[in-house]
Amino acid sequence: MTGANASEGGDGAASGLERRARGLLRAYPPGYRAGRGEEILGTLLEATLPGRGWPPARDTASVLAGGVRARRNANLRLAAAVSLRQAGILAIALYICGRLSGELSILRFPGWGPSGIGWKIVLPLVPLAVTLGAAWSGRRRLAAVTAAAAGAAIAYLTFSGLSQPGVAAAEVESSLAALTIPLLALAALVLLTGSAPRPPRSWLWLPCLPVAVTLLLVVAVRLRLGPAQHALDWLGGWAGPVESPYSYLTAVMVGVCVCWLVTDFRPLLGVAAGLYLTQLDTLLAQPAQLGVDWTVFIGMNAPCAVAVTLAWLIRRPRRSPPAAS
Amino acid sequence: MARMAEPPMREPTYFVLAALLGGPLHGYAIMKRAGELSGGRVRLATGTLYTALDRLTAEGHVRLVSEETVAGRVRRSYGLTESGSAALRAEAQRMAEAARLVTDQEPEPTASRLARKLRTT
Repeated sequence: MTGANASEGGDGAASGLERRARGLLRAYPPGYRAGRGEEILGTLLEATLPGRGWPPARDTASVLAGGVRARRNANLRLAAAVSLRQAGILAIALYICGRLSGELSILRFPGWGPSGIGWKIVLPLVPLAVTLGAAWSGRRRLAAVTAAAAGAAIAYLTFSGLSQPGVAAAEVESSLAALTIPLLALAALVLLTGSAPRPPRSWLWLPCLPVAVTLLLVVAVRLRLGPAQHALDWLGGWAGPVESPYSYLTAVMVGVCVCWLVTDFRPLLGVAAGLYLTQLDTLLAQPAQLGVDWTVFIGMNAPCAVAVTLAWLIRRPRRSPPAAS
Repeated sequence: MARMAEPPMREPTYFVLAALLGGPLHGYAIMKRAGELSGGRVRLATGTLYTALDRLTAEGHVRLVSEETVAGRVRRSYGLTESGSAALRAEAQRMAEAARLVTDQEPEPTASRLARKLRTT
């Protein structure tokens, strides 16, 4: 190999090493990386013997552990009120998206497409989506306007359904009761929406996942994609269809959020509170389920217990962790 | 009310502070110096070093002394503060006292014990 080639090879190895070392730094939160990233990178590269393509295993492990610790400390430094507000936004977003998934999943059946009465489902969908986006980006005024529009659309659909002849009084009562939670949730979402610090973008997949799976399922059914439909049906299965608050999809989200506890309590708090809201909504719509059996009791109260415990842990006064320099 | 005693310093922290006794050093130099001072026993890894530096800076034991750019990257040097120096000396004192408890009651060597026995018989 010529000197030039060797040098090129060496440069290539060095750039590969730097790329991998930079990848390791992603374990740290973005704010910390902006302040300390280049300095840690320099030390990491100095600690690596020449010609090696990867930083030493000990350094790799310690950088990953340091990143986890820095993320946890950054979250612990947030005021309890901010953490609870962000978890509240996530909970309401999950609840709304769960309901949206339920409504959207109807589109997979014949006669519910755009030519049928699918437009009724789409009517509140657009303002709801904008409300969620506005809440996530901290635009309270926009969230208030679109939440009012979404609330009006939901109320219109409920009342127009109830004004049909032959609707029993009990059904009217339960439908009106079922309207309470979505309207209260929308109002709470507007109240919780504020300027910085906004909920992290890394949480967005949680409310988007059920909607995305439902839309994929609708497309798979419409295009008659058998295996895809089975896979998506399975994801929504376990205790009910994809719109059910308890599904494998929920299990995946809860599982990820339990792992997330290492650095952050808020996602699991949001998911638990979102599940509780969904359960409340279901029970208000079908009050006959109340007190049916212990599985309903546990399904109803377990998310509430988890949410209350996590909220207490977040509110508990603690020693402030060291700030990143 | 009596003030609670400070918990003992962890060995890596002790050697990070000890490395800075000779003057300000940058990250990799601290790792190397801590290794030399401990006879190779304390091998600081990069992540551990910066976690320790964050904590020691927050506690006021270490401060940022200078910042330079080397090969396009920021290199920061850290130095001991008065509080860091005092904490290091207090820890050294504590360890020395703890060591004296043992070294002052060292068992007599076998030869001198035998000589004493012979003298008495």
